[in-house]
Amino acid sequence: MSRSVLVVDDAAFMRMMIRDILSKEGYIIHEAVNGRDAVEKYLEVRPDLTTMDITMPEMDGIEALRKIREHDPSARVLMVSAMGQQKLIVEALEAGAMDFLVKPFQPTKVLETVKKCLQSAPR
Amino acid sequence: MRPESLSELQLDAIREMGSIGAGHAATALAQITGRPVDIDVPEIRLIPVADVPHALGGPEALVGAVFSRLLGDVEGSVLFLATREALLGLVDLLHSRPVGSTTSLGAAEESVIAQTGFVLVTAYLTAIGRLADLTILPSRPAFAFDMSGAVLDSIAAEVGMKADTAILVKITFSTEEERVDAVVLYMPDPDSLEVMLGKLGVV
Repeated sequence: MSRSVLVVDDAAFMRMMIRDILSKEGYIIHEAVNGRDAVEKYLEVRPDLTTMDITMPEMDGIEALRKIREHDPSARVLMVSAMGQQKLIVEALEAGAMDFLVKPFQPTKVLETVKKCLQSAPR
Repeated sequence: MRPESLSELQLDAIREMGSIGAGHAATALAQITGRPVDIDVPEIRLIPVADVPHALGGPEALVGAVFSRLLGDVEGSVLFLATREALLGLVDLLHSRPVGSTTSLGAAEESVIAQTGFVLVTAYLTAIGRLADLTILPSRPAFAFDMSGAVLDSIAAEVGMKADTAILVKITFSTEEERVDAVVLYMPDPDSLEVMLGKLGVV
């Protein structure tokens, strides 16, 4: 069965990039445009994995991660960040994120990390 | 390709390029100074080149600028700009001196700023090149300290400015002791901007 991934980013361009990389490999993609939207979509579609941008309007990625994990402690969340956000990445990992990707990323790196997250036991 | 002719998705791609480039510049600064450097969420604007001096505090605002032409798959120019005060702070940061130690910009300070600006701009360009799968490198840098209008005029006179759109990225670098505001102005020639957007899949 195809795995589903919720792609969360306020930039339509970044969602497009991640969607293109993952959908070519057969993943079913859902999208959310900010942290608040991500929490709602997560509860609606219950994806196998969520890729979460950190800096977003309305609700940032770390707060969304916390809210999602409150509802579902086994949620698999992969953070997507820019360089220069090391402190936030550490905060996200402490809050239960499984791993992180730093932009700009190569498609192979995205696929490899997504696969690794889906194969590991939830934190 | 003027800012108003770009689609929302194209603007989004350009903003993302700016933000990724800024993050990499911060990491480069952290490597140079040997201490953690964070950035605030960068402010990214697309403006007509003619409006750049106004966005930098008016044509008479004094700025230090490190200028390079773009080499590789993209043509155009790139500038690292900061006010005199910010440059003094940057020199303190680079020499690990207490904030306020540097009070003038002489030849030694200018050389340090030019080299650092060049490294930051290179990190910025390398990151956006990787995103778009293009080779983008800066030429040997030139440093100028003048009114922002004069800096841009002299660059236009020297290299002939074909770009009509400037991507202005305001970056605030912060360490535990200090905050330094700077601007990266990325001005690809119109054809080059189209090439980049094409490579990013947002034609």
